[in-house]
Amino acid sequence: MKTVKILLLGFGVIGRGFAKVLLEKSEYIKKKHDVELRVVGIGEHNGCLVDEKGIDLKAALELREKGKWIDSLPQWKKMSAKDMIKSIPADLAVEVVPSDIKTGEPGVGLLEAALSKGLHVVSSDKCAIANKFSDLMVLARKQNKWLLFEASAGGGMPLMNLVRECIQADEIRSMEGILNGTTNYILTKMSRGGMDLETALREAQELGYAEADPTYDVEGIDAAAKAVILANDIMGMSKKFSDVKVTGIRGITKEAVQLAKKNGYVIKLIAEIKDNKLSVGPKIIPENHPLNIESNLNAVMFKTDIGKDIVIIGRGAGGRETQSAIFSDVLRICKDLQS
Amino acid sequence: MEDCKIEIKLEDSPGALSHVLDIIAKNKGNLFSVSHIRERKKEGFVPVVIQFQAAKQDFQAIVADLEKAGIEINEKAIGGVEEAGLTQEFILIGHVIDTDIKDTIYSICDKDVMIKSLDISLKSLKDPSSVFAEIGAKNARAMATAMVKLEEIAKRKKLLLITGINNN
Repeated sequence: MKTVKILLLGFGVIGRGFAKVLLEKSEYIKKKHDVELRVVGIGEHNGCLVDEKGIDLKAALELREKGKWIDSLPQWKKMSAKDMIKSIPADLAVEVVPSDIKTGEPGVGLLEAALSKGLHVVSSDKCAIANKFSDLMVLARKQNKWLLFEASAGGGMPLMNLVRECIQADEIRSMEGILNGTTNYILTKMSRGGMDLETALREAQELGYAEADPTYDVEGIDAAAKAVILANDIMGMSKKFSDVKVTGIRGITKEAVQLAKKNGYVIKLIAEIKDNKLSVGPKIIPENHPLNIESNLNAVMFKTDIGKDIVIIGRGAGGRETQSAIFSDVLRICKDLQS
Repeated sequence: MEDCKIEIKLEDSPGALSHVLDIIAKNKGNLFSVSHIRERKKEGFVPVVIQFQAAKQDFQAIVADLEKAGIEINEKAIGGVEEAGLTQEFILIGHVIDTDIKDTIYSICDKDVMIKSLDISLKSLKDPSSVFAEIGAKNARAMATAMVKLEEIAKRKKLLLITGINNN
């Protein structure tokens, strides 16, 4: 059985989610894919856990659940994540750091370091990928390594893999969809529950669907970053965040939502990619439109020349749901390493 | 005989379609196809596209009889030429009334474009108001021009414009 050594870059919600799912599914993965996934390093902003025999993920998770930092474990080393990438032998890096939308850092630096070292890379870091898509793809090609990032746009919804594997001959003419669960939850509550935006946002924060600072979600920035990734990866564009026309949902009133409802419509924050243009903004759609999905769900409709309309609905975020995409990418690379 | 197409707003109830088809047959229309656009069903009405062949005067008689029967025609075309008819919905949020709603409407409308319906929600005079409107245009070009005008007006009057999904 092939052992694949992994460097896990980031131990936040997504990083811990990766560790939890790996603990839970390692036997299943061995049986189904004939591969052992072994985390040999966890990189954090102030140091790294390193053990070439495999990190004790259970111990690391237990510490974090008790609110303690992982630096009390004996394998903790005061080294940067980039130094760990350079010095610890591994096959692939899983980069799950939350980066800055304006610069893409620290994710971009980590991705460049991992690819330059000759590692395959799986990333959920939408800010890094959206910022430096072309540069990173060029580097990956030059190094002849995989750079997969299904989890960066759409969370648990397979979008890029769906197109790559299942829509082989079709040309994707356009894409439109709901790429942000927080705003979808807010708009659903405004439509169904008659709430105003602030009340619905507070409820989303209490349920953990929205961050304490919801700016990225509410202003459409999160959806715009994901739209850039999908436009570039699926439709072969070379777009940057600044190419997206973005309007958030701040200005939407309870009265407007109810007026739409009275006339048979709902308001949704829709990302649109078509005619070489990208936009994110509130749109009215008929109540029976396939993109009228509720709560914090995401949905995307592809319009293709052969299969026509293809709609996919799923969980766009979440520490556990996102792992579906990350592990799909990891196991895709493992298949290559096995052959 | 000309190729004809009409899109009507049909009540989703038994017998409604049969009544429409009777009118077409009575006026010597030769039916080709009938398709219901169920995804656009709204308030019990379904848009239905009917394609048939008819002489020009018979086409006009069919349209007149349908209108007489109280059936709303969204779109009508003969010989591939649209006679009237695209509709789009939009919402404006902000101080729509205070920024002269009459000016907003008149700036969009011309001989090929009209506001077909307007629904206003006003919480109080101080608060932003919301307007849901349906715009009708003779053809796609007129609609596109109207939507560009609408976007410019919304920007100038600092109103949030929310259009349908295909109206960029």
